[in-house]
Amino acid sequence: MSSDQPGERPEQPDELARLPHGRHGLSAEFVAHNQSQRLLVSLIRSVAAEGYNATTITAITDGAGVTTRTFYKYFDSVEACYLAAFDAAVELLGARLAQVFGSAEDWPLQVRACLATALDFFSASPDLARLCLTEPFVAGPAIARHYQEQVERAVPFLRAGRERSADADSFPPTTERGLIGSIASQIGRKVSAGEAERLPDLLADLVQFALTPYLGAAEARAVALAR
Amino acid sequence: MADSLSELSQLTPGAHPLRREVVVRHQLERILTAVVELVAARGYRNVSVAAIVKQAGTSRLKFYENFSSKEDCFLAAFDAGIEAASGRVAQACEAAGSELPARVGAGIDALLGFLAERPALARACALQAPSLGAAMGDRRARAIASFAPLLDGARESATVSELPAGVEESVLDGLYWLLYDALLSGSPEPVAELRGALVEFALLPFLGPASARQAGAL
Repeated sequence: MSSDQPGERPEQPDELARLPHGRHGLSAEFVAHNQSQRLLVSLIRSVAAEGYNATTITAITDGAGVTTRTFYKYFDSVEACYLAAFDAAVELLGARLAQVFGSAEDWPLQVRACLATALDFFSASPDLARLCLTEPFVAGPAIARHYQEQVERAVPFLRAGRERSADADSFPPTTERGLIGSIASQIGRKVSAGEAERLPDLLADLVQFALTPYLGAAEARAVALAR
Repeated sequence: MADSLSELSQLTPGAHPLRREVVVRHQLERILTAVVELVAARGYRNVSVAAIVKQAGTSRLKFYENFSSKEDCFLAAFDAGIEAASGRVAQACEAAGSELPARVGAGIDALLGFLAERPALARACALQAPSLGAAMGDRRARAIASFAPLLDGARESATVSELPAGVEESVLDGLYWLLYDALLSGSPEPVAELRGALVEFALLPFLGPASARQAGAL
């Protein structure tokens, strides 16, 4: 391994720019020219290719072209590095969702647009899909809990749908947590099966499932199938 | 499993002419119990075959007669645990009859009762099993699907019309999410609150919010 000097390996913007590939602009935000981001990119690549369990500090530093000492300057464990990558991806997706949410006026269309955006985001980057949706459980209960908290940030947006229902006051309190959790699980299962690229196929079913309790089956289906 | 273990521990070695297959079965059960307890207490990554053998009071030789590795052993315990839990749920649902809220309530009660009796198994299967990563294969999905009898007949009893295809699977996923979250928080406690949430969520798509809420409060 090379010495612990800045720029231990020449920057490789072209190679890094391809990772994580896709059309969501990660290259600009992720692939800044510094070591910690090289480490994050290397971790994402390793987790996607080999899984969390095989992602050792050596695997990460080798992929990033830095020393173990450099790794420990930024992170004290694989878990910490993983969490940093996870949070960066969540932040990107969150920004995208906030933008889309504001672009639709009507709540059912907002829900649909947000689901479509999330599915597109992960299908465009199967690496991030695996990082964010399947490996948190592999990484252990603490990270799994963090994952669930991030997913459940969507709960208030869905809860707004209660106003649309004649039974607004009688909704079970955990309705939205169950709905959102189910949707996340269904997306995760597709990713686990190696079908991240086909995530957008789930859109109509997920929209219908999310909206039916609030709008009834017929209206939910109309929104799900609207072009 | 726990019953047969305590039964076994009361036996004085040599005093009973145990048939060989009985001894073998007990050995297997001791190993499966040991792996579950250790994984729940220490985490899957921190458990060795040596520790399992010691906890089970058996030998490495006996361990490897039954299992090829720690992973193989844990997966056998996982499969047995899921089979026992889903069997208990299916049985309770059958016994409760065909009325949907009663059936779902009985199934959820059976599941929570099982988890309360076997907290180590619950922790090992829900929280630790995913640590195996790819070695789990599609076990998680199959495990969730094995609780499908909970919603048998739900579609036929639904007051909500035009239910989406596959809503049953989606509901099971949501139930698992809520349950998993409770297990992450420690144990499925307070059970009463969790019971209501699970029953309500299971019924919501089929009966609508008001009826689901009513059934959950019972």
